[in-house]
Amino acid sequence: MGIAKCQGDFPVLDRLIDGQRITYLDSAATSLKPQAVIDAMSNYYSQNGVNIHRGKYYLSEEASDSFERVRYSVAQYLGAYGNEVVITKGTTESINLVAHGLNLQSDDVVVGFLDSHHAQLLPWRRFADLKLVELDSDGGINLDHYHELLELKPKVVVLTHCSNVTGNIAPIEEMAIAAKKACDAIVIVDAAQSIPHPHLRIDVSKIPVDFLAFSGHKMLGPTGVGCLYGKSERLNELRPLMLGGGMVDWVDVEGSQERKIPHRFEAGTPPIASTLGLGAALSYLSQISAEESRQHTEGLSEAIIQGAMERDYLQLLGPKTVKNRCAIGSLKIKGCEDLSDVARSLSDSYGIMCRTGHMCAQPVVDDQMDGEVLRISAYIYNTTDEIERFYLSLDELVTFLGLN
Amino acid sequence: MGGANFEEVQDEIRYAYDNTIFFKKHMDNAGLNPRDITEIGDLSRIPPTVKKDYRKGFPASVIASGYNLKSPHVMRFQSSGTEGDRLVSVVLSYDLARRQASCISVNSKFSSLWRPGLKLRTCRFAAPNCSDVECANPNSTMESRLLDDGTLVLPVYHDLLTTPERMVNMALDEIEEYDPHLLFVDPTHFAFLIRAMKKSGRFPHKKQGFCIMSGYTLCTQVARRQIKECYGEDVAFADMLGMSEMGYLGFECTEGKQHMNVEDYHLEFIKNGRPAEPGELAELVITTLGDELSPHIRYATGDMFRVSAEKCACGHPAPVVRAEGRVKNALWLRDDTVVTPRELDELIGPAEWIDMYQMNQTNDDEFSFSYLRNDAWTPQQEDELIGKFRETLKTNNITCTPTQYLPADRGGKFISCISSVAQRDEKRRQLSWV
Ligand SMILES: Cc1ncc(COP(=O)(O)O)c(C=O)c1O
Ligand SMILES: [Zn+2]
Repeated sequence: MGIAKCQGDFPVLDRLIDGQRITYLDSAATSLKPQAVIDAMSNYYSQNGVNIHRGKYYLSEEASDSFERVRYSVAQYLGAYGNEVVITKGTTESINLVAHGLNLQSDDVVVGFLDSHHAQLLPWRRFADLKLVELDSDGGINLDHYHELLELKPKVVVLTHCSNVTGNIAPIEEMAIAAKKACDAIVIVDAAQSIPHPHLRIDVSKIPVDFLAFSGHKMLGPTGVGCLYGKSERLNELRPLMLGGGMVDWVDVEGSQERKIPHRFEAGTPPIASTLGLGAALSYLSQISAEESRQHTEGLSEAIIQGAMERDYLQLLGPKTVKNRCAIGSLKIKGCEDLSDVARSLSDSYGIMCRTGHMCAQPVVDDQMDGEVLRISAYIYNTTDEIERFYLSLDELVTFLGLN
Repeated sequence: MGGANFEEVQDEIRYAYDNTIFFKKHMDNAGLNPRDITEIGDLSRIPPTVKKDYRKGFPASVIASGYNLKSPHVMRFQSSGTEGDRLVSVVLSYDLARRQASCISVNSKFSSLWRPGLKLRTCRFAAPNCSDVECANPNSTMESRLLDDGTLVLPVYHDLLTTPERMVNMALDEIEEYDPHLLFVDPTHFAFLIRAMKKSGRFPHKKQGFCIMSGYTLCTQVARRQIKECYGEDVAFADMLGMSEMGYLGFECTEGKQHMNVEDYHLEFIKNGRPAEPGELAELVITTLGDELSPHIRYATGDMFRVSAEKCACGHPAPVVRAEGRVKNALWLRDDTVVTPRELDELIGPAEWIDMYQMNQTNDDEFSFSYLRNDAWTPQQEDELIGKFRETLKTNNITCTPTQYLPADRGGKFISCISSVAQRDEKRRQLSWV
């Protein structure tokens, strides 16, 4: 398999809406799902459908085996151990679990970043004193400011590997090492936007990362499932957020004994079908080489940057270099306050699906663009032709909407 | 194999027919009666029996009339097995002991275990064979893991490499305290324990005066090397061939050869439905002898062997074989030939730069090799090994990745060579009845 021919694996791309094919440019929100993922889920429902870690009967053991195998393959993908992978609902739950469980005091300093997602900002603000690293003039991370904030000896540093607004890829290895050196801070990485890309794979056995969070749905998997990686020493100290079945070894009238990691963080029935879908997504992604993924991403990024730079009426958020970024472009149409008409017409007249708003990262969007943005984001099934078509469509639209 | 004991085989068939619901039906369905089996050649008329029959039939149709699970001397074994391989089997404790004794008698280094009157103390370090929740519990006590037969089950996690240091130390402390005559280990598990022991600066509790027996999974040469490096070349170490269904099948002699037990079983090595020639890859099909509890007739094991025609230098007459691994773990090449887990292990050898490995055939012509490497690693050695893989597997489509973690299966077993292609019916059937 290769990226070039993968469109055929995504059944939704065969769909016609008002007789028109779909150009999907919102993969930073969620990716499309290949047939293999759909099959893994529907196969579970049609051939199994029972709960895991419950019974001794055949179907339950079969389901448990395949569920646990996903955990193991995630661990192998990350360079972690099997008991360091907690199955969660997604990035948001993973980060909340850590923020809640570290026993932070309200005056503990946590260093975060302006270009982070709300999921990586709000939980920390609730439990501690969150300080944000600013961006430099072209929208990249201001590393000097980061080093300055490290002098406050933060307890926790919360990194975003790839920003969902600027597409910028942070030098997390260097930043994690600096955090350890400065004050042995606990390092948490939001990998929601980077994990979909094989060339941005993080090996936690080589980088001093304590926790790492991601969602299945941005990496070809289903919604409703994600992971938290935590170093076993750290997980052992983390207080579970949820209590219930499946996370205890025994319960009597007085108390209970918690199960070992990672199970103690998985109270209740997990999203079984989604987890199996995530496993299929990971297998699908493993067939794409890092090099192929890098080249494809750079091609798309170049088309995004170039298209924006060629047009006076557009302003592109973040660094304008092809290296170290994902194929995400957040655009401001000069003189256009309300982008909803643009987005609606792109969809209805051209079949182009992209997003408008603050991208769950209002601080940076307001700071850099002074309002809403139109965001396009491309992935393995997209081509540079589609990016060009987006810009040509936009040209036509802005004229007819009387915007320039 | 054998044939001298054909009357015993006939007796077993008659007994199974008269006393188990399953085997009577099995014969009736094939239009056969025990009277039809009058000479050794007739045996092949009986369709082989398989694990699935015993899983379905347990307990009502595979336990002989007159017995039940509570009968005296009945021992129960459970193989967790993933993907429908699980099975509960029963053996009479004295049958098990007899099979054990016949097997071990091929190796004089192990004779100390059979001193009359000895109350054998065994420590077992292998995959925990019970469910996640109740077992492998980090808070379990030594008492709670001491079995009636004098076996102390040492603590270990299901996912071997995630076993925490505290539990490793517990296992090592318990070995010291219990001072076993016999360490009965899964070789990959034990090699892990040895590495963990070295890492925490500890030493073997002793290097002689006890025996180490390896079982459960194929004994890789890298595991064997680590065990020998730690305990010395002279320690009584041997690999045992066994099955949870019936216990001991074969044992390694002092010459390092596997001798099969033909006193307690009638063994057939079958290739394409006919008896295999020496050296041919064949499936082992077993008929128990004198098993009054749960007789097995022509039980197809799914295990591959090559029989040797040569007499062993140790002098023991029991037939010598090479265990090639399980049918479901075979690597299938593009030209529809097979490389067995043992053959793969021969390529890798005792490689002092590898601590543990797993070859995984993920698809037709797709292999991925992951391994734990140590300080003795050099890029040349790795390149050389990849070269050998390419030549033997006849493809360049092999990824090779050093790692610090290799997951066990959920039952806790770690299999060094696995293959999703070998699980396909059309492949499996070429090698096995299972
Ligand atoms: C960088 C980043 N972090 C976190 C999230 C939140 O992920 P989820 O909604 O799957 O929990 C997203 C999703 O948009 C994201 O892009
Ligand atoms: Zn011999």
